[in-house]
Amino acid sequence: MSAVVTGIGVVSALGSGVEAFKAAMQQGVNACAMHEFERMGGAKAIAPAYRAVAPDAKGLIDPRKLRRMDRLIRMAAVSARQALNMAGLQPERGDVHASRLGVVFGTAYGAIGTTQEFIDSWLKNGQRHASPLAFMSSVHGILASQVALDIGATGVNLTLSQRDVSFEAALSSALSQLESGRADAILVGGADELTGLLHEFASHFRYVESGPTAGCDPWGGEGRAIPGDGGAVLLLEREGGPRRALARVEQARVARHDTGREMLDDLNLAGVDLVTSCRGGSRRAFTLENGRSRVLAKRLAAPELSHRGNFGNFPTAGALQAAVNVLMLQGQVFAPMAAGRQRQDLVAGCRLPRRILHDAASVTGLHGAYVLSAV
Amino acid sequence: MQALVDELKNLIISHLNLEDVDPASVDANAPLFGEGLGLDSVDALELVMLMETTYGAKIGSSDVGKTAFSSLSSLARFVSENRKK
Amino acid sequence: MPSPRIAITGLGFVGAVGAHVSALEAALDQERSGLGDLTLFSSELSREYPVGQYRGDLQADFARLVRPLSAREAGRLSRSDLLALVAAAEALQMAALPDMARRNAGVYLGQSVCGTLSSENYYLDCAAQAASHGRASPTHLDRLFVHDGANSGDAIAREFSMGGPMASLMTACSSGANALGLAAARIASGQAQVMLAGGADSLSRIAFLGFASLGVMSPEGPRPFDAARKGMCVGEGAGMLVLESEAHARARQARVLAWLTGYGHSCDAHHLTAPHPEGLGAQAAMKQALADAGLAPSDIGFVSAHGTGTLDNDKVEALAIARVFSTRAVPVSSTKRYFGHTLAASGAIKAVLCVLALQRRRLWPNLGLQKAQDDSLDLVTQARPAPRLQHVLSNSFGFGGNNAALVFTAGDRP
Repeated sequence: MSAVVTGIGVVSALGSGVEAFKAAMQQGVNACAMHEFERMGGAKAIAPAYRAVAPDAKGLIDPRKLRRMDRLIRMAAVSARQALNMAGLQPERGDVHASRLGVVFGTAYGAIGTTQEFIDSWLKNGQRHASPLAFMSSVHGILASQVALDIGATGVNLTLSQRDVSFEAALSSALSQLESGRADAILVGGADELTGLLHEFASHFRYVESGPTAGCDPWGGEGRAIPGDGGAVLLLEREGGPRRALARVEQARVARHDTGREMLDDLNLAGVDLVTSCRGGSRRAFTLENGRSRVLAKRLAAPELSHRGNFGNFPTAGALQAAVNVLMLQGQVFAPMAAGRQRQDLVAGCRLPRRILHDAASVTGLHGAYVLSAV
Repeated sequence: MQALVDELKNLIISHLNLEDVDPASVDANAPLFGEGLGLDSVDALELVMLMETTYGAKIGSSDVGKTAFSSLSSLARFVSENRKK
Repeated sequence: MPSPRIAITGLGFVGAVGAHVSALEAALDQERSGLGDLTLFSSELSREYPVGQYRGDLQADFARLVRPLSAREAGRLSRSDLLALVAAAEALQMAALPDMARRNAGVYLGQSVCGTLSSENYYLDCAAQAASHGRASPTHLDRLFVHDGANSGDAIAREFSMGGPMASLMTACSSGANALGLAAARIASGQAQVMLAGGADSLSRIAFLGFASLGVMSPEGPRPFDAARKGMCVGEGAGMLVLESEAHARARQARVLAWLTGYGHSCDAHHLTAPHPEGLGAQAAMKQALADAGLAPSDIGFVSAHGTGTLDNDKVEALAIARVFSTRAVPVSSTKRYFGHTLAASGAIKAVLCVLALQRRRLWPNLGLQKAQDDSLDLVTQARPAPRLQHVLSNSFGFGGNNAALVFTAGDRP
């Protein structure tokens, strides 16, 4: 059984929808901008970020459902609709039976903004008057639930949280559900939102930089990880169906990487001609990322790219990287950006990839990897 | 009473995020739940909380709630009779 | 096509009735509820709703089972992490895995509260500071480290050097059951031979006040399936199971406590909190679990219900069970009154309970029942022996209509 990607959806700082995203990636658009973040206590901080655009949901999502969707959910739900539209899969038409259509999402922090709203509601109104609407919308599982509610999918429904390999974990789970026959089509996604609280946390512990900068630099040793947010969804189906396959998904694993096992030993790496990683320029992760690059270079004679300089360094940027990877297998290589400029030198001499290994070894100790191939 | 109806209309539209609803189009006598504005059981809970925190008007039982929430007009009547703020 | 059966070789438990499986078994036998006053944090509502709070000392429990934690280590662990670690330690010790098997094993956990008891503390401190000083200083920002959903699984994998597949399932109250089902599927796929799987959730203000805001909590404790039931009570705890492939368990001559033989999962796609009124999704999950186990409804000797005691759940669940199994065809019991609704842990704690039921060939009563809501179910009102008990089914239903059903089958007899 092979699984293929038949649709993609993206909501990012580079735009909403694959066409806008692809054009911005090709042109080397610098989506890093200074944004205002509210600190605990009300003070404001101005810091750089790759903040996802507000997606236009008109025509995609019923306004009655949209009202219950916060910023994070909108990213997820709109991306899901985009992926279905790209594939030409209409659940209402019965293209796939509702019970065979699954939704699997990864998110590191879930609806953290709405969680704050819930706490604020009892701080403002007293514990007897906390907002039931905010509570209901703040549970982590809201991502997969809301997407399923929107499209009417009654099959597999999972939300996973695995820090910065959350998307990779969702992909791994979705792949095994397809393989075991529990679903015929699965919307696999990843989304996270950047709130003031998360920004405060990430910059305090030097996961990201908060000074003025031209943009995220995954290779900048002095630390140039700039955060962002967004979401992306891949529609995964079994190969051989009626819809056009964009890429094949072969293996996906998530485990810890400091236990002496080497994940690459469990993967079939024959023919891999391009590697993407979660390299993001964070001061904390730099040593690990360089070490991992050396391991990969020893194993594979393939260039290593990371596009977090294009769309930001955040936990589920892996979902956007996956979208980029599928697009690259369609016949182009995107130059990664670093500090606001395209690193053409990193892709000079890169042939069009036929097999991509994505290897995300995170400084948090988790490791996610998958292989995609051209169809 | 009309002023209160309008006030409640705007409060509900903004708090429940009904951004696609044009306030002018809302009929004060139309049902709030099911038909009309199409609110559901969680909206009901939220509105109970909202009436108490905004107006100090407590909905003591589900029967009282049913009547009060049957339309904007009945809600306005309930609030004006029971408000403490 | 039915899935291969997966061996259960270790069990772990912590909850309102105590730590360790022996405490769970004792509470069941004594028909004792662990519900009581909320003292973990202060709340104006704490006198109004009982909770299932663990009264022991988790760090002391862990020290006794494994080793004392340093202050620095403890500072990086939330209460949910500690609950998970204590239950995991018990399960791993019971399974007595050889080193290599443990190192290759993965960890799948169901979580919903995660570390919010710690992170909400931080948020509230900041809010209080801002209210009194006009600004907040981030002196306890590190409490946010434990906030995310991967922390417990990560802590377990690090502590016990486990390098296999990892996942944290966040599907609310069905998380623990989903974690078990998915971990079993990983083993069936051949990607792992051994997995530790379960669920853990601590109490938190968000959970307590959240359920209160929905108006679904009962001041008198849950009375599942009772005509006069008023709602649920939140609880905290952890349930952990060691799962192994049959070949792996037999090769090392491990005692198979029970088998995980079926897993069914579906989504209502109906409403964010309310279940589908006819329980279509719940029915689908139960049927899928039976098919996965290669069993007919008549093979099931007991159903461990989700049975939270809320008006909605119990009405719909009874309907769904009656549709799948026929009216009054199988004994049903909910154990929510023993330790409260432990959210993501509940599916896993119920799994431990199902294994005990199969081992002891015993059915424990649906505590809190005075007059059944209707005639559709054969509710267990008194503990009774079940000498021919061979297969049991367990339901877990989460917000968003996330339905999970597991089937367990009797293991090796001593």
